Amino acid sequence: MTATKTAARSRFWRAALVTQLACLAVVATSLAWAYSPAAPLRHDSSPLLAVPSVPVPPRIEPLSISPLYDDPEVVSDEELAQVLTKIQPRFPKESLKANYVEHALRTWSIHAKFKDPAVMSGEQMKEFLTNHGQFLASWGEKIKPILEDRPDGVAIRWGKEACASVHHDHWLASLTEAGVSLHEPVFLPGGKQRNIGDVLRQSLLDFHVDEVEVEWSAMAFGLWLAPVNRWTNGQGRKIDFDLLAERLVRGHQRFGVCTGTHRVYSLMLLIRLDDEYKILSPVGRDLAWKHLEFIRDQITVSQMEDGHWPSNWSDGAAALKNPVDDELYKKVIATGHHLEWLAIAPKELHPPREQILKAADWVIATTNAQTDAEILGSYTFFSHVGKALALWRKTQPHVYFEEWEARQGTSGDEAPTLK
Amino acid sequence: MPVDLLTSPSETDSRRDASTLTGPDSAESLVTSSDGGIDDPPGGHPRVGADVSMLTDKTPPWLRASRQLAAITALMGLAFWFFSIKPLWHSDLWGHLAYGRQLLVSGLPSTEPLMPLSQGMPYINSTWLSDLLLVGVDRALGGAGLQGLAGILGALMVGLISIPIARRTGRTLLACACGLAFLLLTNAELSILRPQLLGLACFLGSLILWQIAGKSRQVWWQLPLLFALWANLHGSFLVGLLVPLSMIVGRAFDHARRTGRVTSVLHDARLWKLVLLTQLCAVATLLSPYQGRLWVEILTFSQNPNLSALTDWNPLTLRAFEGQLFAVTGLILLAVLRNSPRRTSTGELLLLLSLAALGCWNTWLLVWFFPVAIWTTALHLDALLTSRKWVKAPSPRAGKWSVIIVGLVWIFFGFSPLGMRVLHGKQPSPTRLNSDFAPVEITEYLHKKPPVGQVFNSCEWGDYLLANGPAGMQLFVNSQVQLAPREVWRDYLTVVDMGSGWSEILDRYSVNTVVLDKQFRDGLIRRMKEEDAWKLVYEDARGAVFNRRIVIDR
Repeated sequence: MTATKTAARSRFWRAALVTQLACLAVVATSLAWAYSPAAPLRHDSSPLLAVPSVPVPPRIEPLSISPLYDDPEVVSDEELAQVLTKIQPRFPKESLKANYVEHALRTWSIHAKFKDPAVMSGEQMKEFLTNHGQFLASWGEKIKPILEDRPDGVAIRWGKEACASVHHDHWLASLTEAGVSLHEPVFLPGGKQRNIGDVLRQSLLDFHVDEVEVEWSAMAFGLWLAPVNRWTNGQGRKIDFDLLAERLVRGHQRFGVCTGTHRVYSLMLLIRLDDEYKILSPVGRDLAWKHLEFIRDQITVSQMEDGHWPSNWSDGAAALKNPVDDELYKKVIATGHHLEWLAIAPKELHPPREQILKAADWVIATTNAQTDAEILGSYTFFSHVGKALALWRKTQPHVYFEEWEARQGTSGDEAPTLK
Repeated sequence: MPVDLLTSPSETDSRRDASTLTGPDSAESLVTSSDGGIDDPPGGHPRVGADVSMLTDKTPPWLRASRQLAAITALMGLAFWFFSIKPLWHSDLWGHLAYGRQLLVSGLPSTEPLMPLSQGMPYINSTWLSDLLLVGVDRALGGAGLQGLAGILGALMVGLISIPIARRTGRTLLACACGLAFLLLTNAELSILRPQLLGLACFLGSLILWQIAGKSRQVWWQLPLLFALWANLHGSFLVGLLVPLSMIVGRAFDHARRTGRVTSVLHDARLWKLVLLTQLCAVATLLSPYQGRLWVEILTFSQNPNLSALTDWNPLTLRAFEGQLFAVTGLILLAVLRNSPRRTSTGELLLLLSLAALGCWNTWLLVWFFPVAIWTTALHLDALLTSRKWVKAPSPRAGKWSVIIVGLVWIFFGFSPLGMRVLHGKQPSPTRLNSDFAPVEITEYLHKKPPVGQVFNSCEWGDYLLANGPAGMQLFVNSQVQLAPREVWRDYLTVVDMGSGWSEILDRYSVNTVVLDKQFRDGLIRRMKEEDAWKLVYEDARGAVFNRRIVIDR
């Protein structure tokens, strides 16, 4: 009996050993397959587990898109100074709207300095957005914080709530265009400190291609990530700039932030980045380029007699046949934004030059005709005007205005000649 | 030990005692001896004109089939014919064909390859091998081939239920009744040709092999091979692992209870063999292009929020027909178990309960419960009948049954669409090939007037349009709703439900063509007819096509 039991036991252990070896062989084969060229998931960061893959930005300072033209015919020195004087960020300290600060920063950058102490400097605006303490000082504790701590990064509260950032990723895009560093500290509620890189990371994870607004996200991602052109978001979706370009092109042109004009700016920005960093495939670039040609054609036939573009510019010639009775701010949005993207666009994408000149004349006159209160009430729209006009003089608003202020007395009445 | 299809259970061959003949199975007369000869009647008068030698069965013994097998063949043949004449379902199958064709061209993708709005979405094709099989059949034999495949799978599954029951119980009627019950309970699932049928066939095959796992050495390679294949055919292999797990836990529990010591489990060699075999089967499922990701994908599949809109993925309710079937099956099973003299093992109970729980949690999973319920009912019913002295009728082997079987197979094959295709080169007409819901004529129209840009389509038609519509058609969604981005799926539901802003959604997506069915979207069709921005360009009894009057150019 004992011999039988022993024999049975040794048979069992032999079978167990063979089974374990067989299992090991299968696992090894499986792993080898997972990393082989034939495996469908070989490009994933982990073929065995679905994990989001957010790239580390290849730079500490964001890229910036240089303007292409220095055209005094579009805007003269004096006109530029007048407009920039109008749009100085002279905001009330209490209940300061994040949306206003974001737009101002985008126009003036973090380097802006003003002689007038009532005007927020670039540093002060940056502090307001990145330091919860500054935010609390303005709003008190009754408002939800704009900065939200998350396990993977920092999220920005956005939406129609009081003192939220109005548009998704507008906070990030504005600070990016304002020249903030990736390591710039972000001070959260509770005293925790993180940085802009954490905001970018969370933004990449949270980004959904099919959300309503992608314009700001596309801009921010482009300026930080190029030449890296793809990542995997928190839901496992692989996103690249081709997909973003398709998304920006999708839908009737009237959709999108600012009567559909900011999508155009974002698309142009991606093409400019592609010029240097090849973030788009040939198919993606072709799609974006053709769309911009279409936009050019639309604005060519939809400009009003006085030079402005209406909010229904995307209807093309029908916009003139069926004019809408726009409020002033909508006209400013459309005209200012179109001038902005045209300043960074090659001439092939421009409407006839006369139309650009007419548009600039209209927007300069309109801006100068506004009172300070009227400008403040529609600051976000007029901020684009200032930025657009500065771009057409191949300069930055803060650079030009600082020089101008330096050459003037405290009155700042006369505009210097640009070097 | 494989199932021997040509012999009846050994105990019936020798049973000749007429005094034990009671019950319905005794209707068969035993006047014939085992070699098929006819005895002279009592009284000594020889039969006039009878030549005994003419009635001798000259078929080689190895070729002789039993009456039991003939009966089951008839049932399988009916199943084959029944499922092969059914029109092909309008969804699922076509989606798998489309993905299969893409697979042949571009290999296995890691992201969704065919739906423009799902670009970049992670895609684990857990049915890639099934997709290839479907494409192969379609290319070789066309629609008739696909119908034939549905028939073959239906027949196969009936056979996988009936034959083991017949072999185990020796009762032909019981085996056939179980086969019929299986057909009735799973008719809805079996009527749709899709990889799930292959998964179900693997499940039934694995049930048979697990039953003989303790006695056969071949299962040590048969089961792992089956699971490796299964993992590439359909994601239901995880359900298949419930069988051995239930057996292991059940056996351990029974063993511990019997010996009174928990540690005695450690000395149960058969239990450990089961554990090792289960381990081997589980590891074998890693032999797939997706390795461990496949497990993660299958386990997390039902958590996709998009699936909540699909009734198949909702919990079972008694109000649903499936729920009522489940309730009836459960009641019958309980009644049989209550009266059965056969001991119900813990493993059996565990398996039934876990599959029932899965089915209640998710209607789609109910199909795995029914075969196990039928199998359990059959075994216990057999024990009950035996205890009540219902003798098993013998099922002698004879050449005539072999002839009948061949004849049956030929008849069923010959009169099926597959037979028509193979023998006469005839394909069924599109109306007979496709279900009433399939957008056959609409697809023909779309070929003549291909849509420009994005299309908005009924989800139920997405697969058919993907496989049969114009090349490059940019569809909105198909039946693989788990692959659609959440926002896209929400927007789809808003449009079909005519929710707030539905019309604007079509503008946002640059939709220039809308293709809708009348069965579920009649309301939306009527609304669209009233919209100035849209023009009705095609309409038939099944659906309608609208084009945007001013195309959104991109």
